[in-house]
Amino acid sequence: MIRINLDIMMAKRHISAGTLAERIELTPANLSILKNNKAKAIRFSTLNALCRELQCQPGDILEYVEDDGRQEE
Amino acid sequence: MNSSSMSKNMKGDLALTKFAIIAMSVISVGLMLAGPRLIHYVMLRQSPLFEGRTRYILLLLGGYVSGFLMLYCLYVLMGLVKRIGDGDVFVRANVNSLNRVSLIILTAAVILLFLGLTCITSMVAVSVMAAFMTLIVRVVRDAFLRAVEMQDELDYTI
Repeated sequence: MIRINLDIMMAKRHISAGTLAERIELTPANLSILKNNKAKAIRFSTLNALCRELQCQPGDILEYVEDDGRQEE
Repeated sequence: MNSSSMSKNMKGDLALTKFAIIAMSVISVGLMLAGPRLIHYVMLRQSPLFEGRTRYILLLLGGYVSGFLMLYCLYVLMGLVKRIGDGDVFVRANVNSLNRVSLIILTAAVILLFLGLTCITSMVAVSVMAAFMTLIVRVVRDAFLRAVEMQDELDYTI
């Protein structure tokens, strides 16, 4: 599965969820979905905005981890 | 065709469908009230199996059960049309409604097939049509289900 390490990058950059949501023009609810690994897909435009504001690469936000056998909901 | 004329067309279609559902409900109630009189005419025709009182009771019972199924089906359809009118098109409730409608039609098809084989042969044709209608409704239900899944996925695309 793909894990979103957004909270780690946000902590590294000392940026709050509200501020980031405002900067990348996303609603706080949608950012929360993303941050909590509930999203089913991410747009390139969102990824682009995240990388721009967090000054990182997509690989810093997205990480592949082995499935633990449970089916994704 | 622009979106406003499409929306106007859709509203017109929904209003017409609601009118048709109400009209069908009135007709169904009327047919149920006139049940014994109608069966009197049916009894004049040839029967493939049962005769006399057994045939009369089976026809009356089958007619009433089918009538109540029809009314329930129309009630479910009215709910479906109302939700679509409110803008809730690809939602689970609509999939459930279509599933219920298909099961009601299937039940009616079985009842009509029984009546067709035992009391009045022409009912077999109606039963076959109802069975075909069941398949069509199930295809529409499956399409709605796929659309609901796609909508879910879209809602979680950030």
